Amino acid sequence: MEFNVTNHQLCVGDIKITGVASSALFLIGDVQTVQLSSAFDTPPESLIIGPFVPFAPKG
Amino acid sequence: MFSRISKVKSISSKTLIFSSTMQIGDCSYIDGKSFALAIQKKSETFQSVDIHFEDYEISKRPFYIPRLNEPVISSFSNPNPFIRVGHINIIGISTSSVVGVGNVGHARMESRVKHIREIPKKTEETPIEGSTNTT
Repeated sequence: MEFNVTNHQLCVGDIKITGVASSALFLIGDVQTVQLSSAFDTPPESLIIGPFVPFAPKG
Repeated sequence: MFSRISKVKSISSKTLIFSSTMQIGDCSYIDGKSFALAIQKKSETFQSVDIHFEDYEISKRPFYIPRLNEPVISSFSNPNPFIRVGHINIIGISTSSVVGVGNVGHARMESRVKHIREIPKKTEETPIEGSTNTT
């Protein structure tokens, strides 16, 4: 596969962002490679009902 | 190959916490990693319990990232050598995030979050069924 890119004018106005979090990347500029990986775990076992139970069991 | 210049009028941020970076200028590589335990608990006190991120399965699972050596022949040309951006306002930058202005060689970011909710059992309170679907 051949991939040809021609970058003509790129003008952006103002940018307003509330938050950039959890290893996010906000970049103005060129980049050769980007690799992103994200894992978020909230299984049914992580919902604990009762006040004196220790935190979620392993897993 | 890449030689565009980023022109930003201004950049401002209220908070920059938990190993976050505001990078102004070119850099060869970015490697960000964040491991977080998000615990929600209804309690007046939050006693320190021995919690280790390594005890949870999410910290042990392998790190899956997209491959770099894709069989693609790519070429780039930049007739306009500028990227112009106006004013940037970011309220918060957190947990190993990167806000950058300039060219970057390679960027690799990883995030792992384990979310735990602890809800007290009380009869007069809202039923559990209603609280299970809340985020």
